[in-house]
Amino acid sequence: MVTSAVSVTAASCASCGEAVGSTDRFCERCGAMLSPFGSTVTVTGAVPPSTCPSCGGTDGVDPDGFCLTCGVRSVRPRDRMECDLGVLAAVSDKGPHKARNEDSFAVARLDGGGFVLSVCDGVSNIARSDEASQAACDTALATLMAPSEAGPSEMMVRAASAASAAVVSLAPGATGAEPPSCTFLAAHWRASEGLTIGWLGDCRAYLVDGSSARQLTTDHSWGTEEVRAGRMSQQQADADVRSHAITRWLGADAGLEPVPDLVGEMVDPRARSLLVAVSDGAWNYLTSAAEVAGFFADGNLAEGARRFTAHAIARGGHDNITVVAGWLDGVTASPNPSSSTEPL
Amino acid sequence: MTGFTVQVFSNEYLPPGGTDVHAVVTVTADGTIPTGTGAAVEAIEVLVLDSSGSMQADGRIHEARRALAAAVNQIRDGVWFSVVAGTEEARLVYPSPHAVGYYSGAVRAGAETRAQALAAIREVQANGGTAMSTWLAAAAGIMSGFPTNGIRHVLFVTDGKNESEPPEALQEALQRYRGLFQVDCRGVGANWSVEELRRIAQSFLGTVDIIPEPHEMAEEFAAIMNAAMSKGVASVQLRVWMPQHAELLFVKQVAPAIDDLSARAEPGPNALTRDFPTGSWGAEERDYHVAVRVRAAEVGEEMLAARISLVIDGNPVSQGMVKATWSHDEQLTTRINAEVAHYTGQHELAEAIAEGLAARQAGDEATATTKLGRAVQLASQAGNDATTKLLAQVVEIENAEAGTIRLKRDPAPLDVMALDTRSTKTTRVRPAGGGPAGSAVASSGGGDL
Repeated sequence: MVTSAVSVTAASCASCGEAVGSTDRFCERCGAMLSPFGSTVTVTGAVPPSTCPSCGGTDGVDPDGFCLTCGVRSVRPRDRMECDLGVLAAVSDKGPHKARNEDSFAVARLDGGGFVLSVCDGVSNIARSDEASQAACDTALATLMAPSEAGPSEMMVRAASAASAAVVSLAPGATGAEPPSCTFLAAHWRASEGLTIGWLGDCRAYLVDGSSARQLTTDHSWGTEEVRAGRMSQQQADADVRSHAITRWLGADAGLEPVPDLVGEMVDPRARSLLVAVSDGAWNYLTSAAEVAGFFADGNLAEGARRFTAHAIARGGHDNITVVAGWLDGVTASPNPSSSTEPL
Repeated sequence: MTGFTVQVFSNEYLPPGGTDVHAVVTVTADGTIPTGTGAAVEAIEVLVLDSSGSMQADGRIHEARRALAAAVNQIRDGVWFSVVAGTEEARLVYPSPHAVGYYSGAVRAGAETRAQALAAIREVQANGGTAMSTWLAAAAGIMSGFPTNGIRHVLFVTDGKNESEPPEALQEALQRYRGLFQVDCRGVGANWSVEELRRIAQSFLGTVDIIPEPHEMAEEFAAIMNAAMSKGVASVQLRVWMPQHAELLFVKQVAPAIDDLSARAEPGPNALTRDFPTGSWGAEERDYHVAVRVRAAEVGEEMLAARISLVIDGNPVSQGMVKATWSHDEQLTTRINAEVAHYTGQHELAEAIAEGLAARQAGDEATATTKLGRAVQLASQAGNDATTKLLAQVVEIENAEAGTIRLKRDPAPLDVMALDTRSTKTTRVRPAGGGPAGSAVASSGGGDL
């Protein structure tokens, strides 16, 4: 199946209106983050001040938020990223207690209906794990969107492998420091091919049907694996300090070829089911999977992602929070260009 | 086909009030010209051979003719070339002004011109003095009409010192022709001046090395030509952006050899940038050590301390960021980056050798013993076996780890020169040992449940 990106809107920055290139990741003028492949993203709280709070300079900031005069970072585009593509919406938030946002996401709609998304979570307290998660997301998405004759499962394995290579190629930080690393989750949906999810680590995907929801993924975490192996009860595992330690990830210290776990689902595109992919900073505060459905009860994906994020912040927000949601809709027949602009 | 990639190695964490940021920047070129920066370039090669009277000793001129022929045979078809014999003046050995396609002292390499060149080289005789400024002037003259974006390379070979002209003449030539071409210098035997050839090589972004025995010339010339012919990208600049009020402490190439670029800064496109010429590139890797002194920011602040980009024809083709973050966490701020530590050590090694040899020359055996002992210790720590081997020709190593040595009473002059010449060659950081940590468990996120 050959897929390619669809241009969602005119290529201009949603924050300041500056024309942007189709592959730009950040607005060259105001530093706002742009989603990949030419679509535009509103970034809350990332509009740079007209004068640098550090030096008073007025030359602006570079795409990463560093002042072009004094070099001090006055804007951190990563702290709060929001993206609304209609059929897909995403929020990633630093959270009140973390120094930086080491989560990231990448999303894109597919020509003829369907989408691809990725959520990656940089491993805490390791230099450049924020860059690791960004590289992993971007690379995974690019791989999943590349024209190929391979099926979605094969593409998912390739996406993890490419994302791993991108993370491994990041330079290590300092002597004795662990190499940059992150978890990995990506999803591919097209009504005719079904839903495919691949992951390494503890980002999760939920399938929401009306008011019910179920978790599609199984965490690669110490606690989950102990329970699954029958060595511990859930209560025992939850009480153990090692419970949340992840057992699989992307990075130079991750072991051999990173083959992701895969799940596939055939979903009836008329059922208005929803895929919700989240980092552990979001799911940590859930008491049940069904709670996920509640955030999206009004059918507004962008608002739902914000509500989910706000919930995690209100309950403590000790980690970065990322929520991506996408409608599993579309037509099951081969994509036909004339009918590809399906109303949401 | 990515052209150039830039990787930055540093510890970005500074303690409160910290100002100095050190980074090792690794530039990897795949030998291709990055898209959008112009077409394939023309190349010109000038072979400059010392043909002064001293070259008659030890059959040197015979070996030199053989080596020049080997060099000519390595020149790619289509590359412009010429052969110059240097004495107290420079004489064009080939092409003669009547050669086919003669242009300003060079012709394009091909079967016919190569055969003509080989015939002319057989006639080269050794007699006369040594005035190197005239040799460089000849190379500059031959290249004067050549496209400025072309690859311009000179192989410069001598067996003696620059003794037929006042030292100022050479110094003036270095100033006048600096940056017009690249020069790889080779000294044959033990009667030339390392300092002199190093100065020439550094002025022209090239290398310097010793060829101990005349019969080794042919192989060395062929290798140099081979490397020169593999260069695909002419005139690459290393551009450094620093924030306002920041001070550039230094920019050094640290691999494959140490070369301080700091004094070669040229103004960049704006007040906060500076450009450093790095010459032409083939498929290769070079490491740079960049040190910047910034104004300390508040704890928790992040700063871009430097942005390093590779620039071709005014177009940045690849870049890396050197960041600084101020933190109270001593675990973070006291770490020293492995690459920075390694090259800091390699630099100290080169200085210890230079100072040790200078002290030895001056008869100060105590200082020489201390410095060369330290050099042995550093070379051993860094796993720099090539340098350890060179040191072992000049000193008796008693305990490499402790750096205890005795000076050899009568080391061969060639060995002393080899150590001097090659003291700036560095090793790269040893690859981290151990395989993947299969059983390692990393913690993702806060895990606050």
